[in-house]
Amino acid sequence: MVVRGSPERQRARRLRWKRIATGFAFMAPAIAVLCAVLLYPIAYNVWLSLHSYNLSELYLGKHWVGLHNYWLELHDAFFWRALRNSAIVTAASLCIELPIGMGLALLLNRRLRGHAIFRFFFFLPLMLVPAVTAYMWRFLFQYTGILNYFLGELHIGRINWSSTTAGLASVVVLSVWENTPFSLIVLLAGLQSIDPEILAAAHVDGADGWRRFRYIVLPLMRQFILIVLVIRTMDLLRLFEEGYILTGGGPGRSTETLSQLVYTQMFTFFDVGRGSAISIMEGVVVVGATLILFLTLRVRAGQRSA
Amino acid sequence: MTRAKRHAATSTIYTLLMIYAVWTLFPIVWVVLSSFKTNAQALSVPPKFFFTPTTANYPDVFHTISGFSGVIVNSVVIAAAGTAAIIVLSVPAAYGLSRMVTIGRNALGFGIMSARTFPTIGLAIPLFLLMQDAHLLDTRVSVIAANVAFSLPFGIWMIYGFVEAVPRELEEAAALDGCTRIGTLLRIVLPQLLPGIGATAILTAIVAWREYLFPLVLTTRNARTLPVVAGSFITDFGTDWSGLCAYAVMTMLPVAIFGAFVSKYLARGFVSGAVKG
Repeated sequence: MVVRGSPERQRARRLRWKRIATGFAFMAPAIAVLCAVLLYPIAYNVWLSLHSYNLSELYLGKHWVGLHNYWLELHDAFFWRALRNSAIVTAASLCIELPIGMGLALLLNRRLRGHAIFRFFFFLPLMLVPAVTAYMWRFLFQYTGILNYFLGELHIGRINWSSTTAGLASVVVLSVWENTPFSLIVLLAGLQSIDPEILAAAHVDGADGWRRFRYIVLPLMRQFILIVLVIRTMDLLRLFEEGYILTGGGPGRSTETLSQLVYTQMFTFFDVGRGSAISIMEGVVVVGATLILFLTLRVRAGQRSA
Repeated sequence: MTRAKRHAATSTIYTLLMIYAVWTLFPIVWVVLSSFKTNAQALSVPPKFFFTPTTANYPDVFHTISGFSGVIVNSVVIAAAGTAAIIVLSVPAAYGLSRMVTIGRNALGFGIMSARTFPTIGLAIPLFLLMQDAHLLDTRVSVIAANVAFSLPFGIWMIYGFVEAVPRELEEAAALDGCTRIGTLLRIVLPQLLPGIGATAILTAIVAWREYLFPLVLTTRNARTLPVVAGSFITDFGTDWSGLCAYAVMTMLPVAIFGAFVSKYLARGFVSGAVKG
């Protein structure tokens, strides 16, 4: 029997600490690099957000202003418009991407002949370089472009895609085209993890297709839907190049998203302090949205199983 | 289900799949077609579906984008060097975390989540200023550092998952035989990790290859990568749409061919990365 404070016990403790120390030695290079290129820059960004610092007025230098940059942004119409635009693009894209991705996953999961070739076609947009895809869609969205030609043929009429509403819609169309495959991949993996015997049993019990989907598939897929929602919400709230390339924030600055607003503050007005402050607030918005998604879906999951 | 009913269901499914396939493929097909047109034909009204193709746009890409071959080299070097750095740092870190450090694992998981949440642009601002101070703006090193910052947490987490899947008995036997920790990692664990390392490397290389914001902010001329030079076709004198299409096809082709081979891997990687991240 090992007694507290006995030599065996002490030896075991020493060995444990030696093992942990060796482990940290293995991790040291990665930790050092992470501190240098990730943690230090982020801390520096927070520090910058508390200072007045403009690259076009370097003679003024940096000086401490506390939360003044945040206060300025919260009283700036451009900030609220960017927040609204990001929220609109995120909500609209999710509402389209997720159902289509789910529908396609259900269709592909039947493994009909030729499903592999369809899967390859459907995955293609995800493999292209996003910036190039954005330029590609800028070409398709031209006033005399192919998209407007089809809209004309369908008697809907040509749309001026460089207006505010249509500009935001074009960003949504692009991100839906580009990212529906992501929902498809994750949800298809989810469907394939469902035991077919459960569905067969429900079939025998007389549950029709819709009920099998609603009461068996959907609850079992909850974790996968949550993954898609969380990752896509994070990515959409941080959306930059789609908007930057497709609309350039125009007309004027009316379709700017949060990330674009940071870029404008930083590289058009050279206002480092305010740019940093917005980027920190953007981070807070992303974390907040993620937490809300986690909590609501977790809570609902708990209620259902209870 | 009766035979006729099943037949109807099958054809409905195929119709739906075809509709989505047209929606997904048509933009790509149209860009490929337009890359063989003259610029005047690219946006002609009504659009030309049949025309005499020209291949002039492809060599012209090298004129429009100054130093295009250098840009390709930059993209390849930046993706490869960043990936190599991430793998070399991740493997020992993941091994140490999995086998020796029994404390602080949740903290790492939290760190990964927050690293994924932090907006890229919020990392680009301080990196731009720090690189400026270090006189590293417009160098490959600056873009590689930014990519490593963004992908290293993900790399560690992914490889950690693969290390956890390696059975520990062999390592214990090796330790009894007097093998050091590093020896065990290199001789016993590493060979079993190779498929996992391959998957991680492919994913991080793709992320670096696609990255737009970091090279946009950190480079001006010498270290530009493929995604940021696309803007060269849009000038104050007008836009060379057919040239842009040719450029787009040139960037699509390698990725699509590559993707055809690794799409299964990719799917698994996306999902496992997603589930764990």
